[in-house]
Amino acid sequence: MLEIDNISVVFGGLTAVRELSFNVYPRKIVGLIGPNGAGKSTAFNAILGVFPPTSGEVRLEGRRIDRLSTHEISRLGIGRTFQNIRLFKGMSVLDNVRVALNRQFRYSFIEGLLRLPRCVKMEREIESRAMEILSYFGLAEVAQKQAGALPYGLQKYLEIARAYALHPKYLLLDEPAAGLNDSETEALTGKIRQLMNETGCGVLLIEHDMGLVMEICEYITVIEYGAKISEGSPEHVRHDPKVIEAYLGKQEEQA
Amino acid sequence: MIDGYWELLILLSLVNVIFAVSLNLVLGFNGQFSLGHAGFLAIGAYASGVATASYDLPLWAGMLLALLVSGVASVIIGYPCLRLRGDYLAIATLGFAEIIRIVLTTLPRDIFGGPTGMDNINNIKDYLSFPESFNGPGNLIFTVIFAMLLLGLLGFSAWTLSRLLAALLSRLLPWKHWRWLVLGLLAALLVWRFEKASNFFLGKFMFSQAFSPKAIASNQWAAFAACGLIVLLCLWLTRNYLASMHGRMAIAIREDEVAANNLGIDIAWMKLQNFIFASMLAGLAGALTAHTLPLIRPLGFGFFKSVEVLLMVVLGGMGSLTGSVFGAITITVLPELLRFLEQWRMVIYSLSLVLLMLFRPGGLMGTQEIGNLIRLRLFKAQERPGA
Ligand SMILES: Nc1ncnc2c1ncn2[C@@H]1O[C@H](COP(=O)(O)OP(=O)(O)O)[C@@H](O)[C@H]1O
Ligand SMILES: [Mg+2]
Repeated sequence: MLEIDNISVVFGGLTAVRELSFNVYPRKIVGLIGPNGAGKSTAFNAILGVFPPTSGEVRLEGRRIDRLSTHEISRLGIGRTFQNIRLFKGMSVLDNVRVALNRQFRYSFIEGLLRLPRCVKMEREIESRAMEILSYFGLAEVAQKQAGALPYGLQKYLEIARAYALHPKYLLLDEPAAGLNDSETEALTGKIRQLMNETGCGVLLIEHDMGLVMEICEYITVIEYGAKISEGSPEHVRHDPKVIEAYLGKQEEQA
Repeated sequence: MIDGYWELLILLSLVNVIFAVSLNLVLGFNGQFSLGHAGFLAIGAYASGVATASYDLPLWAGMLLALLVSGVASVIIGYPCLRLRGDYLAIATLGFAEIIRIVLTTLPRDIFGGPTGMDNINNIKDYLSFPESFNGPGNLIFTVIFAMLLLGLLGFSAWTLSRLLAALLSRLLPWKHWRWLVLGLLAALLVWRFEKASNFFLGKFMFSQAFSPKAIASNQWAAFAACGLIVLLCLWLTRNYLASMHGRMAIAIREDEVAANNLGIDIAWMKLQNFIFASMLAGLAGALTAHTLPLIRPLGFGFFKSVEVLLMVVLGGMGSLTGSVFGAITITVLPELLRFLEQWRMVIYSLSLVLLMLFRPGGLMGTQEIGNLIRLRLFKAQERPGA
């Protein structure tokens, strides 16, 4: 279980996340929703230590991880994607996934430098594992292309593939469906469900649009201005007057 | 047999290849700025120079010491800087290189040579003893090899220059045959000045003296072979590194630090590791410099040298190994080849660099390697494979 316990993140004078608590469970998809600027991405960054929480605790399987550095946290089994895709654009699609396999296939610097047999063997395994992952996400044909040259939809898949390559216990997806059309969103939803069932990992999904989340999440936390305003089943959240107000109020502002 | 000055120039080109590759590892492949890379060159040169000349240690010990000292220095500079975000490394290396340069002028003269430098370092040729009968054929082989390489480089430069000039001219006045006009003019220039050009060429690459007593007595081929082998070894190691997981992580950090960090990569450590490896290469280049140049002095490793190597890397293409090879050779040899322009030399030299950066902002090779480019040309593939 990934427990987010009462965390706050303060940027200067701005409290972007305020005393937020929720849990992520293995083999479950939970959602974190809220209007734009509510602090959802900041909560992700707090979990991964990109912006460590100013107060509160994050626990992974009972162990505190909120004082660890980002790379240590992700090594413990948390994979993530970013709201504005962050691929290694100048590298090939295959290399993007290969980089993510750096913890599972390890050899020393010297072995790599001299290209010793162990390195050669490992590299062969890395390549076949990476190709396996790419095939799983339907990216095998574009493996040699430059990642930045892929169409937007495929870039989103590649980012998920790269996070999946970490073999994470928990997968954190930041607005995976943003910018996708309905049929693409549906395909993506299916894929997320499938990989959760097959690997048993827990998924935490951020969306600012309610549609996708309502459909696939078992449990939803709603935040506004960094603080939790509602939580529960999609059914419960959908009818919560506070949530309706947060979303409708915002829509009126936009109109 | 190759004329002494050109022998030096060729050896310097080889050394500069290692030096440029070293900076490219930091700047081009890892995205970190090192503005005082000549500092590591100085450390390597003086480590090996002092060890061999002042303490009579053998050459291998001098080189080993150069690797060691530059490695240690890189940790001292890199450790604090590389854990911070931002370009602290650029400032720190800049300061470091200046400190090294100034310290070297004040260290005891009898060991370090002071501001006037050290001229008592053994040349690499002094360490390489082979039977004299090797010298004639050896020198001839390398004369042929380097003569051909030079002609190749000239051809490549003319080809590139024609393309750049054509690009410039067609902006002013669209016409699709500019390229051929430029090439034609260059050819005409060659025909017009053929005697001068061939005299110059044969004066440097003295085929006629291949088996003269002077050539038999000289073992310059051994220096070429030794430096050439070391360069090939360095290129091989670097290529292996870049194709390994460690190199891939270094490139990923260049592409996106935050993403790399979120994939379990300890970015501070990977940057440091990359920096140590690169600095050791620079140290090795320094050691070779000490044993090729007749004199090393602190001023030779100043800010200008750091800028020069930056130029080699940017010109060749940040993130391309073959680019660094081209860049290093071009920047070393081109100013010499342009000597016939007399007072116009530096104007034309700067102009061609400006032109190049204007029309190929990614450098000669971009982030591509020559093998990839040739493959692309041959098979006319639509996709550019990732670097
Ligand atoms: N690095 C930062 N420095 C300062 N303020 C930030 C930073 N990142 C986000 N914020 C602020 O925190 C708030 C929450 O942002 P964010 O988490 O991106 O919202 P969401 O993902 O819910 O749309 C916003 O007001 C934003 O301006
Ligand atoms: Mg966001």
